[in-house]
Amino acid sequence: MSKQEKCEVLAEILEVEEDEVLEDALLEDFESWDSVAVLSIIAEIQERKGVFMHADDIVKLKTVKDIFDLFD
Amino acid sequence: MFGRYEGIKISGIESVVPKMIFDNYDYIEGIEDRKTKKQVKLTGIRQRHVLEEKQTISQLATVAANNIINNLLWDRNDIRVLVFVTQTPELSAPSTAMIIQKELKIGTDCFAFDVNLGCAGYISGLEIVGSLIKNTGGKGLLITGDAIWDIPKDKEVGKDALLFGCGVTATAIEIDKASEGIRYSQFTDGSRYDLLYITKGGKTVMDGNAVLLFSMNDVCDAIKETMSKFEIEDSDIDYYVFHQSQKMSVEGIAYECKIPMDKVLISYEEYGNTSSSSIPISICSNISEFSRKKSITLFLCGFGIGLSWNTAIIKISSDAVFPIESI
Repeated sequence: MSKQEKCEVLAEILEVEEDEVLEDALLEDFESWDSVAVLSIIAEIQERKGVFMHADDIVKLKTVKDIFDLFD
Repeated sequence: MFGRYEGIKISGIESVVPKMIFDNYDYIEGIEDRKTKKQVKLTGIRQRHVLEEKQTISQLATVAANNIINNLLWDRNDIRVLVFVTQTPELSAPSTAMIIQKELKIGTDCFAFDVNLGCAGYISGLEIVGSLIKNTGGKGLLITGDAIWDIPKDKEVGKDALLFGCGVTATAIEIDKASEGIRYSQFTDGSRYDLLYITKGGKTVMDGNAVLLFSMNDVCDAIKETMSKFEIEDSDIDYYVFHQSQKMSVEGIAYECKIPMDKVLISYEEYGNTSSSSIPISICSNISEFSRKKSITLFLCGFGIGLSWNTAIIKISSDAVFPIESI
């Protein structure tokens, strides 16, 4: 998955423009980082990798980069 | 805590839902809010049954209870315990259970009261009724359900209202010394009450992420510990019935606990989150799955407001399950 694709997917989930999706940005600073966004991430990983995220992995998500790493 | 209620059996489960359907998919077609649209798709709750203006929760409860009394040919004066698990009593006092008792024409030799529990309320109710009738004798009736109207029109309620549906269930419980009883676990953590609560005005306040993590952590731990404690293998269980909060929770729990989804009963798509009724509604709505079997062993798991969560392993005759009635 290219970085561009990651940006597109995450921009859609966070409901922002792609240029706002910076690797070091804190997820809690995005207004739309809520339970629906988390469900969207879980669904995205499930669809791409066929696995369900563990609760511990969800808790560890702090920055945009953390989500990009999950997409790899 | 873990335990076992011996000498009681579940002899019937009835479910009744309002006829009126609120179609979540149709609803999101007509709104702009992207967040709500996404939530409906992700939670998998396609529609919900909701009360009509003049319908009351006690009316549905009376139908469900009358059905089970008639189907089992019970003498209604044998009913010693009537418990209604609800978060939406019709009056501040007395208990709605007393209104239901009146409608059912059950005699005064009966102990009737409400229990304020939510999504973990079914298993708790089984334990309460089961333990009481072992002392009182006679028969016990457990009724569950919350009143849910066409609430998304009320903007104060918010998008989470689209998760909840209305359904009332009645479960018949009897003394039976030959029964395997109910093996259970029961947990409560009031220190986290503020993750999910209902205000005096009836508004549901929920930290969705925290509640999702609770379902993936504490609830999964309870399921695994129950299996281990009672030395249960997956092959001992015919079906798993989890509280139907939404698609991701149900699938997430199954994945984490290594439970095959083809053994997990689902009802959220058609009925939504019906709170304390979600477990019996999932059983009744899947009656065609097990109607050919003589008896079924079910692994139940409730979780939600409190926070509270529990598990139970029950064995019931497939004849004890009745199809859902819409009124």
